[in-house]
Amino acid sequence: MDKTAIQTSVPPPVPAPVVGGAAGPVPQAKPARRRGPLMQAVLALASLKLTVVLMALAIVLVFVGTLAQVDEGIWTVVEKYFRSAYVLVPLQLFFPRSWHVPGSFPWPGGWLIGGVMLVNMTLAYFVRYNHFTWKRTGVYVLHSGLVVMMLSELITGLCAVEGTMSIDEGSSTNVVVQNRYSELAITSPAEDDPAKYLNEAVVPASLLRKAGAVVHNDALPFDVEVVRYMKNSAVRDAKAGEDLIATEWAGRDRVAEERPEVSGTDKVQAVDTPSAYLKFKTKDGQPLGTYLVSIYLSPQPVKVGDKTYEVALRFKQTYRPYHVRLLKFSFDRWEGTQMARNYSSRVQVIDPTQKAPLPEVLIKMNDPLRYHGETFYQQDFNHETERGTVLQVVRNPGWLLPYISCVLVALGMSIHFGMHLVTFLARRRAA
Amino acid sequence: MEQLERYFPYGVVVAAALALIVMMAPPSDAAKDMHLALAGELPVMDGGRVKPLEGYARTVLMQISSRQSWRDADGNERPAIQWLFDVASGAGHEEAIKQATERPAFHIDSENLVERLGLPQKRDGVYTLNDLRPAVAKVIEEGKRILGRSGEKLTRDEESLREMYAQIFVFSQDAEYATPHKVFRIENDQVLDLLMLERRPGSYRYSYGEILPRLALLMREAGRADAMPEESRSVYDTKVMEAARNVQRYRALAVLGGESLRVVPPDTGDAGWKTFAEVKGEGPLGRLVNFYGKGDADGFNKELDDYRARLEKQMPGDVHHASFEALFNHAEPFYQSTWLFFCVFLLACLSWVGWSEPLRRGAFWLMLLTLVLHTAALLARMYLMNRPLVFITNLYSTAIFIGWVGALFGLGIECVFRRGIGLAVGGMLGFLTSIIAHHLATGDTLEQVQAVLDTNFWLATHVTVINAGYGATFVAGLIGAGLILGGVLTPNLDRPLFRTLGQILYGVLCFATLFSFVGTVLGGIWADQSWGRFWGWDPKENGALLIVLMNALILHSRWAGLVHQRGMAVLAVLGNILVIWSWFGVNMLGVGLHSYGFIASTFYGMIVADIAHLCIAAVGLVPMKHWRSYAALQGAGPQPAAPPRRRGKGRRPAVTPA
Repeated sequence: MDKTAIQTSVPPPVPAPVVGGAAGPVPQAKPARRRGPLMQAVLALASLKLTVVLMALAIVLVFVGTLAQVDEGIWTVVEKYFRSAYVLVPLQLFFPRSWHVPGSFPWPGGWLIGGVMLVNMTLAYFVRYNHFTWKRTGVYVLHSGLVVMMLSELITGLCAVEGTMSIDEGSSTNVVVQNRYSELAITSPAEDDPAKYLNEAVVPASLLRKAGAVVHNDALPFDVEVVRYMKNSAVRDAKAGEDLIATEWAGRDRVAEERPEVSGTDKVQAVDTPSAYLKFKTKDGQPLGTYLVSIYLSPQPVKVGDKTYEVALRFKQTYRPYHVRLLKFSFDRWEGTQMARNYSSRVQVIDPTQKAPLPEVLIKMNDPLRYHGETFYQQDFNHETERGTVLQVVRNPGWLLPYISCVLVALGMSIHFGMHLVTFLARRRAA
Repeated sequence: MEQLERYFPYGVVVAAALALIVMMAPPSDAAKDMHLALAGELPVMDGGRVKPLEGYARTVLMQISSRQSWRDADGNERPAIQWLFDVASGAGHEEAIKQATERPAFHIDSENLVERLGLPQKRDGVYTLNDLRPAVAKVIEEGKRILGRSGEKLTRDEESLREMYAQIFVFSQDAEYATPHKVFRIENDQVLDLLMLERRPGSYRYSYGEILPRLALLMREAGRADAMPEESRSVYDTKVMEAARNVQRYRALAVLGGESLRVVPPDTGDAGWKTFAEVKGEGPLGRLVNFYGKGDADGFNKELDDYRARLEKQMPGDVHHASFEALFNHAEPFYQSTWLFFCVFLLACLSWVGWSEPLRRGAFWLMLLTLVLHTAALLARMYLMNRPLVFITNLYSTAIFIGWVGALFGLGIECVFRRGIGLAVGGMLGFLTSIIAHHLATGDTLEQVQAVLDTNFWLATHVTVINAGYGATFVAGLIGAGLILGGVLTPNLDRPLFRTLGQILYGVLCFATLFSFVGTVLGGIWADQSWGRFWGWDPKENGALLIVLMNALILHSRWAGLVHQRGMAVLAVLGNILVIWSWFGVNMLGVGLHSYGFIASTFYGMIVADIAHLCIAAVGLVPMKHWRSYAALQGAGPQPAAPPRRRGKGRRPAVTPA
């Protein structure tokens, strides 16, 4: 079987002339012809040996990327390890956290390994498998499935947007909150209805990261200077006689303290809750005071001339052109226990662009609603009242690709290994 | 002799089948005695599902005692249901109290205090409750007074008094539950010292009556440990908490009031069960306990028959379910397959020593029998959980299922290559996973699942396929280990066998890659269905990906000509480490939505297994000329798999390849 295996998958490797140490010997499609350096490089990039090396690199990367989640948030790890060209892996990961181990080593990141793998796989089609044979059908099908899979992860990494929608029974909303990002929102009451607030301007928190940075923009009614930004924080009451950074409103009796970033293993806190000390100035440089803004604090007034704005640091919000109304949230438990059996939300989408009202839908565990390119999943609920739902809202243009990929790879492997097995058994019987 | 060779395999199967029939036969009640086994089949609602009363007793006994049965004072093995009725009706209560009052358990280290209380001086300062009797009133009075004061620093005598008061108080409060049955498993020396109990090597079981005099101190210590943050608790702290929890479980059982236990069925229909406390311990079950306590067998059996007849009319499905589960619990099919798998492994190994064909065939038929039993048990589980095609619902059942996959692979391999290899590997994996499963069975093994897992479709597809991938990878790893150890430690690994092992390894790896890949992707699709993220780089997902990558790496290395039989074997052994990591390791990181089975003690088992695998892989890297089978490996075959031959070191002289 080992012989057949080699023959059906790759032509027997013939030692190629070695050019350049890195490339090493490569299998050639046709022996006894001299190749230029470019072709040599292409062959090396398409070689099975490179595949093996990449897989070994990937195994280590995935392993350290798992260990890293003990200390760091899952999203930080994903950005650092899996959606990056390279990563500096701290040695500390491999030791108990009570020992202090300094140092780190570089390792190729997910984009790099995945990218080269994609090139390796694609080139193999043109270089190694460019003569179609029926015997290789399985290999073709299965690897095209893999290409689809890797593209899907690429699309997800670049385009997927996740947020949540919190709705109480009987009410509706069009706001999607993305708690991985935050923003400084400057709002003002609408002139016709003081109870209604309009978004005047929004500053993404990514512009507020650096102390001393000044955000100056025509869309903003005043300038913002960063005194301090905390990615994760807690807010407490100020102690008597404590030095305060903020001079206005909530900041006069409240203090924000920096907290370490929420790790993937944290059971108490699930998301980072940022706070910031910001100095506001009018466009002509008049100070408006230093404010403490935080996810934990409600909007605070800033008076510029005779107009009053409200400022707040909040999770990023986006708005949909339609509303989702929650009709009923249900939380079923297994009889006689507090153990959840199912959560479900009966909702209705209210879309002004639709002529007829849309039907009611039941969203439950493992059974989402797909609407307008987005998918609504049952994620959480209002733990106090049990009468409000939290839906996860995801837009991922590549969501269908894994389904296709799974079918292709399963089919490809079954064909390939099946053919192996049948040939092998037939030979054994004959022998 | 020829006859023996011919009939030996059948003999093995018949003997095993007879043994199974004897061990698995359902329990029967003598007509005149109380029909306890029948009472054990009564349906109750616990943990959100209907189960037999006997199953509840078994689970609690298992948690307290690490066994599903107990031994009475004469050392006879007794069923859990009898224990339940004994505890609920207070059988042996007087005896237990008598023992408890005669137990030295009150420590007074001040002569002054002894004098004040009017007690005789004792050298060790340890008194029984009987000794204290004349002073009890005084201790209670003083104790109350001391407790009434708050914030002041107590003298040593006052602390002693307070402690004694607490002991006496808890004693009188909780004495009603005392029985002499030794069921509490306590192994920790410090906990035993706290309870002033002697060590009992070999049994480690203690009765509630023995714990009672110092129960107050156990509860105080457990409260202290409970208030500590989890990571700063010592072994003693966790053991104290465990012992206290077991006492609570026991007390709950005594009043048929387990946390989620509902023993009183609704008046009509099958929903709306009530607790025993809600009906104040009355109703049919209360009467049964009373009859039991009085030893009135006729009354007991009459009541039981009436109650069963009523339930059978009201909820026939649940009654049959519960009866069947009681049978299943008693038969313990997964426990039976443990020794069966071991016998298969043993026979297969013996077949390599001598009398090969009869032993191998015996192993083959025995494996078939085991597989039939194991399969039937898996189907029974599906029926009991009412989840068709769902093999796995918790960590325990993954172990059971992986053993089954291993046995299937073993039998499949054996059908193609009749060398006993498949049987040895399948038997070994089945045996190991059965033992792991046994250690994972710490509670109800048929428990209800969390909301997100309550989907038969994904449990039947993703979970099944991914665990089949684990199983296949384990099979490959074991074959790899067999190849390495067989080659290095024995002189018997000849070239044809070496090549055969390589072929099997390759074939199994193909399956392992297929299953682990498809299983992983199905998991992603489930995640997409469930929370809209196909892949989240969650530790469990990463674990699965590692297995896929490892299997793919082995196959590609093979195709690239980077490794041959030996290299594949070494890599397959390393692959096992990744499977163990994915199966148990990631749960210990405490990360991710998949961490459903956190067990700290598993950590050490995992480390040992990892080290063993690393050692085997390292042994596999020893140059082949140092292998004991080096000579045999040179025997035949067109190509040398070993590095260029120099002087052979094997026992037999090197033979030039044909």
